[in-house]
Amino acid sequence: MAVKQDAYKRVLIAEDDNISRKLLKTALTKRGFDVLATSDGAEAWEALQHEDAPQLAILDWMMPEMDGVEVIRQLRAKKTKPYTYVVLLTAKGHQDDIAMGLEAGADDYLTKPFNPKELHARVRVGQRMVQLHNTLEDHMARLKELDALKSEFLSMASHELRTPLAVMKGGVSLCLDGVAGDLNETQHDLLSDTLENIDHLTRLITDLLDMSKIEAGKVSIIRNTMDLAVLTQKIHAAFQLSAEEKQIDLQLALSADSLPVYADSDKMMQVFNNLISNALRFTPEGGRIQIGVDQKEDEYLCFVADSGIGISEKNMNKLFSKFVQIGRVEGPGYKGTGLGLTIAKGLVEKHGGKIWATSKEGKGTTFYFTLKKRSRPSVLIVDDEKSMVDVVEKFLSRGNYHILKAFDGEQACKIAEAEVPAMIVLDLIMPELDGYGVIERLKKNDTTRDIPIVILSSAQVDPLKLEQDDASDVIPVMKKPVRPAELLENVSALIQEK
Amino acid sequence: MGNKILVIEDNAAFRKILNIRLKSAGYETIMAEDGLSGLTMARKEAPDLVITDLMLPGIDGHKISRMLKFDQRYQHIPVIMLTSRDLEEDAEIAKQCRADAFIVKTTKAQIILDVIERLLAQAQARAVPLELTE
Repeated sequence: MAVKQDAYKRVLIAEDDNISRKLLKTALTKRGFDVLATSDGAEAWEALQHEDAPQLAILDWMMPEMDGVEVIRQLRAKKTKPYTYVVLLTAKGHQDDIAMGLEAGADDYLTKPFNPKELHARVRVGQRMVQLHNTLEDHMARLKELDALKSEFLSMASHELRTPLAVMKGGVSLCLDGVAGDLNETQHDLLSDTLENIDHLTRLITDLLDMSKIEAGKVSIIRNTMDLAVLTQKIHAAFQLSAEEKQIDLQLALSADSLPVYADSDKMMQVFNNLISNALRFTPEGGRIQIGVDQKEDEYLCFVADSGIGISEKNMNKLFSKFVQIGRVEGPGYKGTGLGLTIAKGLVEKHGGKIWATSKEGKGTTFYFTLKKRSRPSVLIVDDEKSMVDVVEKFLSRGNYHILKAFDGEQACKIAEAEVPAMIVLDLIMPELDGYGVIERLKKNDTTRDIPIVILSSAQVDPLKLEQDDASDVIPVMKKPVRPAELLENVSALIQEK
Repeated sequence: MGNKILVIEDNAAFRKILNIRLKSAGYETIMAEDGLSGLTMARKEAPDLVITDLMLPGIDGHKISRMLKFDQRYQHIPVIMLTSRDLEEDAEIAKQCRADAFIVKTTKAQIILDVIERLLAQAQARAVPLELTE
């Protein structure tokens, strides 16, 4: 939005009293302002609809037909852009009017009879605020543009970079497989190196894309009931060959035959893959790597322990940073991308878990991560009325969900972040942090942003408020009282969608 | 073996690679370089399996798969969708248009060949009861 400098010099006045209007106009014109004077709220409202309307307005509170506060209400309801800064004019001593005007959306006020110096000072404040608003809006627009550009670039890069890689890989593989004729030893050797590097580049691109998706909060976690025991057995088998090549003893330590969990199995596989690849890289020949899962009261403790070179204390805090590779081990095995641990951290946290490492230089390193012990999707019910929470719980009892409860907004946010439930049934009207406040906070947090929310409230829902928090498209609304079947249906549909 | 595979791919180099790879695995191949001729060939030449790129100019892989899979005359032909991206959106697209498999182009050749073999075996197994009733 290109705003000319003189734009900040333009002021709209709405005042039905002729003398007062004249005084205002004269005082402002004298100071170099370009004044557009109107004598009624309706007239002012009309003038403010124009594309190049002044962004500064001084509105009298008391006017026939449409008063100043009404104009402000209309303005704010329409959320006009660019912003209109409004100074409300009131008679001296009407403190309640001032409070009401400010509540309705006025930015400032001035009491009559006014002092020209004060008028000028307040209008100057308005000018600065309008400038700030405009700068902010410019930046917001630019950020949105850049974000869209980044997403588009990622998707394009993903395609454009991989197409030539696919051709290179295909061609080299054909040669190596002898399809294009016999190769001598040197040729075979050179092409093997080429293929290894093509694979490395492919991994690098994949990791970069994964990383940017995690950073942009665009990773979707698709949870299902899965078994950590089955998963780790699969991974153990998959890495057996690479471990044997390096004469590393790869062990699997499970605390039970079945370790059910409600998680995204592909993403969990990726976490283990990254941790084990890392361990293989930093463990010298003849070493040992143990992967396993321990059980605690309400969570699993997964670990990958190696007998590798270890990490010095001063490098510990850099461990999960991007592109950091601490120490190098010569020998076979592929190079890392420097993103594996960062991605693992992002994915674990998306599941509501924690990841950390302990290490002793020369002895080895153990990576741990936690995963909530749960084999069914959990639903968080939020309502300040305990009886309502019980009713909803009863309604959902047929759905085989793990029920979490919160009795106020603050508690709801805390539980949502710690447990990352599969969905939330939310009341709107609660003391202190209300439903809208909860939504706003959850949407701002990467961990909780994607949790579907069903609003269950007898209050009318304000779609504008939801839109503000980018929540308009994700929240079906139901009004109390609700039928059990309807609620269950909505909840299971939303969880399925995930 | 000896099954006929139709390859629809606009990238000449990748088309060549697929052609050599499939022939060396004992398949008969027919090649199309754009969606329209690919679709025509799929209908006329009765291939045993179709491999199509997802991103093609004009009629794309998504459309080709839909046109075949929602048509009773051709829905028995297995369709493999190839893409250079491994975005979740692409996997979703492939599912929607009922492609039988979705493979990223940088996947090892042997894995692609295994998928082809499996899909052909499945298609043949499905065809058996029909022959018995004749």
